[in-house]
Amino acid sequence: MSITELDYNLIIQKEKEVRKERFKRAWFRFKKSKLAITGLVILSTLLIMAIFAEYLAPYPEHAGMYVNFKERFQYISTKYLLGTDHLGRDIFTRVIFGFRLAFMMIGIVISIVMPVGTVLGLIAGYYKGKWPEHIVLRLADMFVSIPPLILALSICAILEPNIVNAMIAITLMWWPWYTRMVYSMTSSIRDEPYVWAARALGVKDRDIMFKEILPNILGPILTKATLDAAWVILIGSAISFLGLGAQPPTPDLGTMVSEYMAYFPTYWWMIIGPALGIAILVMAFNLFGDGLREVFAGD
Amino acid sequence: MKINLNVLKGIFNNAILKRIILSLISLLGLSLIIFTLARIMPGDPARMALGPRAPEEIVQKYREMLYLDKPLYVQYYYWLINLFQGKLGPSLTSFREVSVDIADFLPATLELMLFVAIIQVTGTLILGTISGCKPGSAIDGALRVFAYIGICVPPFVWALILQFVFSYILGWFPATERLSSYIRLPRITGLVTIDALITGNFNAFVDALWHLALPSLALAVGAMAQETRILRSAMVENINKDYITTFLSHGLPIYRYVYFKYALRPSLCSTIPVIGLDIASLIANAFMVEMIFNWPGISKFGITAMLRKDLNGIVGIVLVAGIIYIVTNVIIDIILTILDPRIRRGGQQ
Repeated sequence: MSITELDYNLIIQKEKEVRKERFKRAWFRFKKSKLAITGLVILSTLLIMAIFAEYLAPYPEHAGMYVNFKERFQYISTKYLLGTDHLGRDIFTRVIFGFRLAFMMIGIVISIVMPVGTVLGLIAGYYKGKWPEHIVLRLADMFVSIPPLILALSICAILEPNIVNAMIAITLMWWPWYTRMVYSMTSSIRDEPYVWAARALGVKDRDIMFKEILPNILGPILTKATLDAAWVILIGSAISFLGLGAQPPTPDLGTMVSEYMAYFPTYWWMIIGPALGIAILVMAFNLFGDGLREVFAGD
Repeated sequence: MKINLNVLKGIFNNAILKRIILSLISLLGLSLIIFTLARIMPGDPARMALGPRAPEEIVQKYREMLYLDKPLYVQYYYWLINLFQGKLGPSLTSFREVSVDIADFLPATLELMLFVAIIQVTGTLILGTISGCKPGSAIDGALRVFAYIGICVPPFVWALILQFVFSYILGWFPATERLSSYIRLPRITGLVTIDALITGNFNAFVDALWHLALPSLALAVGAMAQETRILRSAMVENINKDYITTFLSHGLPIYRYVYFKYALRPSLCSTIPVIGLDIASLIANAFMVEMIFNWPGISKFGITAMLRKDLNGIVGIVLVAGIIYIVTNVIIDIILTILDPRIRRGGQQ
């Protein structure tokens, strides 16, 4: 037993080295992709802007409830980069605070959905043909039997419409997609010789799942997470746009579009800020995610 | 494409039937979840429907009428019985039968979805093939940029941009509604274009198409961008395969046979599921675009139901969306079985 354990440790040691080498190569490939680097640069800029919004935004007090009727409906100028809205608030400031809200939303949703979805998928895939698989997959089937946005909207409607419930709704809607992806990858990997070998050595099921299978499918999961971040923004803004997410004084990008739409087309430039904000954020995540995908595809 | 008996046998095999039944069961399960969630949430639906100033006896009567005073499983039982009779229960806001409301509003959305599907499929086929046949060309580069922009801009922003440019600035298309106000049309199917054709009213038909153009384009652009990308990468992959090289070396006409027949067909197998999923999800995006174009479709009913917590209405929307999803998926499965002989064989075993 002690010899096998030693061998097993050696194998793991070696594998760690291989993984380190692989990471170096992946970074090299990532650096070569111009689009991916562009995405990363835009993302970090936006993230810094979002974190230090109070210091970087020209009029931080305009983010929430603030009224200045003298300066309402101002056109784009050097004083107000994206104009002012119907209450005289600086739209540029509100967009920056909108970025903060969007990043928060992504962070919370992905950090709940990714682990939960992955673990459920691993369990379902590893115990293929047994009861855990059936329960998890049938449950996932239920949640994907209607368009994701409709599910999120109806959950938001049943709970109170606010930003926290919008996040809950997106989380509930999102986990099956991870579960199904991880399930299909796990169920193809579980018959690989190295998994059999680990099982023959008497490694616990839990360790096989998290130490043998998970590291091998981590690449696609992370790629999906970055690409999904883009979808979280799109779905989140759609929910807010329809009035079922964040409520007005909150500087949410989708809410802002729907708020300013009431003054469309007379004061059309009010839409530019929030719309452009959503588009840039989504594009940055897409570029970055595509870069990651190329990196992992090369393995 | 020739469809012989064997193909038909392959199409209606057990796999598709099984899938339909399984998806119906999943949908019922989901409806149970939504139903339960809706009922256990705090807040009295009867009180909300009648308003805070309604006398208590009337509210109590209303509760009894809707079985709201009974335990949850009894409520679900009555709801299920009603469902099999084609009823979804009274709407808590409009006080009409939900299924009647949905039947009123759904045709407008279906018409929109139909046109989006047409635009999306033709657009994807043309753009994807063009850019897949000549990877690296100027057209390909331009289409890639378009694809990126298309993905990043949400449909409601597309709708606002198109509305602003083409109807407010240029004035080429009408900004809202399905028909100009001076045109009167009897309601037969509820789909304005088809009604116009049935009654032979050509002016109304053209007018309806004119009104359809902007909303369907706004809905189609984003999905089309994504599908074009997928079709392009599949085409590029297939064109580099050995059998295409063989065909080319034999001197077959490049575009007519090699690219359009032998490279496009396998490429479609990976694109069509995505197209299907996008078309099935259209009803969700239609919510936003319909709101902007003031389209009298399902969103008018759905958003009111959702904002006012009309429980029966919400469950009704979920069911309708689910059924559209299932139908689209079955159609996609059938198309895939026709396209891909491997699936056909696999189904027969």
